[in-house]
Amino acid sequence: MRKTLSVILAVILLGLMGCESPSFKAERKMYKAHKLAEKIFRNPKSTPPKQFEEAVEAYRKIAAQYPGSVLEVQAEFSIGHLYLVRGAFEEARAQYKKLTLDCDKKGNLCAEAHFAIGNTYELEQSWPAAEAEYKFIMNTFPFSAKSLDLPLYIIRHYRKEKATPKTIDTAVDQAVAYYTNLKVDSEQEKGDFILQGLVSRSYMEGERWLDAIDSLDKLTRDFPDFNPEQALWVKALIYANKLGDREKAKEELKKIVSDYPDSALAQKATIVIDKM
Amino acid sequence: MEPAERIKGKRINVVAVARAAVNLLVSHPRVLVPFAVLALVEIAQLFILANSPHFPLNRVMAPPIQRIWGGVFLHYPYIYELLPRLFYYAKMAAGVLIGGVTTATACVMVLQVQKGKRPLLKAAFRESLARYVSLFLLMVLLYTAVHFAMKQPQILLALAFRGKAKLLFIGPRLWFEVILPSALFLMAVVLQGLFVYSIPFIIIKGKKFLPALWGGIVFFFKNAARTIVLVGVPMVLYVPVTIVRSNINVLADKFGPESIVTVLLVSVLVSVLVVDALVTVATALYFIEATDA
Repeated sequence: MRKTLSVILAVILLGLMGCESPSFKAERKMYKAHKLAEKIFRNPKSTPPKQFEEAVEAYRKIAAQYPGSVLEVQAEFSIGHLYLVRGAFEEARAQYKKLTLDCDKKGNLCAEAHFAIGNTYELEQSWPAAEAEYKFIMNTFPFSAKSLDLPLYIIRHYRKEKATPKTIDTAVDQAVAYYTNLKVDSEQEKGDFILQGLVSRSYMEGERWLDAIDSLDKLTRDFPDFNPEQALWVKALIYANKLGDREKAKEELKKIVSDYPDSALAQKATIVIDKM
Repeated sequence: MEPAERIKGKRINVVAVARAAVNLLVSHPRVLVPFAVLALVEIAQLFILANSPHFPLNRVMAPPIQRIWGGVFLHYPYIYELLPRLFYYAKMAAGVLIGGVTTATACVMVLQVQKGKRPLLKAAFRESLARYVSLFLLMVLLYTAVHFAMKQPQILLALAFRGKAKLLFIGPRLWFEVILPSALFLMAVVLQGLFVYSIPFIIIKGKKFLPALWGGIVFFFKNAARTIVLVGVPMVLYVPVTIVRSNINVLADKFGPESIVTVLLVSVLVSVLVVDALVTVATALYFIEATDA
């Protein structure tokens, strides 16, 4: 009896051990490939070629074993990243280009792949080629997550590179025009609200504070159902920290307290008013 | 069968008790069976938890994990990151539900040996099972006390350190890496000591839950120094496991996330088969000698 029970228990345990799902196995393979790649990312230039090839090979195997899956995409991207950190820009671009096929079905993925291609140009100190790639994303995949961030990314790039005020202004105007045009195509009120928010952020990234305040006014006026107290809070911050107008800042905070007394920001606003 | 060596004299020598405990376990390995059962249950729990993302266990295990910690913890390698915490709760459940009975069974077997009888597992188990409610309540109290009390020093120390670079002229590293673990160890020994005699009171003296609890605490305070030695010395054996467990992420990074399962498995073997067994047998022997049971 005891023996039979032990055998049954052993069979059950062994049976359970064998029931690992294919996706779990694939995740384990991906983890191991990431571990190999980690060493290269930590020390890209001095990693021996054999180790580099091993990591690339691990990813290639995963891509071949799981075609059409998220893991395949991750593996292909990771190979591109490995080439990128080694400074092999052409190879990296060729790798990323593999992911730009079938874009009708996978817009977001293609946008990410083109963005990675843009990054390779940036790292190669070839900003015009990078910008062209980014603008291609903005025009081809207008509602992808990446394209919504790219106009701001471009403004930030010019500010980081200490470009002339005119260049930055042009980038801000282009961003505003881009978001405003998208608003025409947007079919939902929430979409319009997000795009108007991005317009405000474009002005803020370009440090055009008065334009930002006008845009935030429009946001509170046109979208009263989407937490307008947040726009008022940002306005108060701009008045206090960027324009040095504490009275106007106080006015905005008081508006939050009087018009939206139940919001979480009302409490914060009361504390800030008391300290002012 | 000859009784195990008796510990003679009015003042009971703790070294003699400890030696007698080891000798008893060597000469009567059957006393280890209740602990082996508990260890097997804990290993089964570990196995189930480690396999919770896989069919068929995922049918039962996946929904609560998903709801409480998030679906990501059903994927590789995140399930292994969650495993120590899951296992902590599982170990607690095993301790509350069967830990009292296995410890009591071992106590009865020690008493049988001391009376010169052959240690009988079935009889000892039946005797313990008859006192299940009292043992269960005691375990609930012990685990609740340990669960809440052991967290407090860390929280208090973190609060005391807020906005300060040093506390009592000592830097955070010394506080958190030396003083706090030492204090926690001492606290664990004292907590264990406070409750360790309540089981013999229930199972050997036949007391009910509350008198046994009170009796155990009073007995501890009357024999505090010796109890701390009898409980503390075996618990020192668990310190290396604690050190390994606190560096479990480094190990996982070096040897793969599956190594977490190995570490937990070793911790079960050491904590149940070595520490719990030695503490139970030594304190039971001490109790029997001191109370002339």
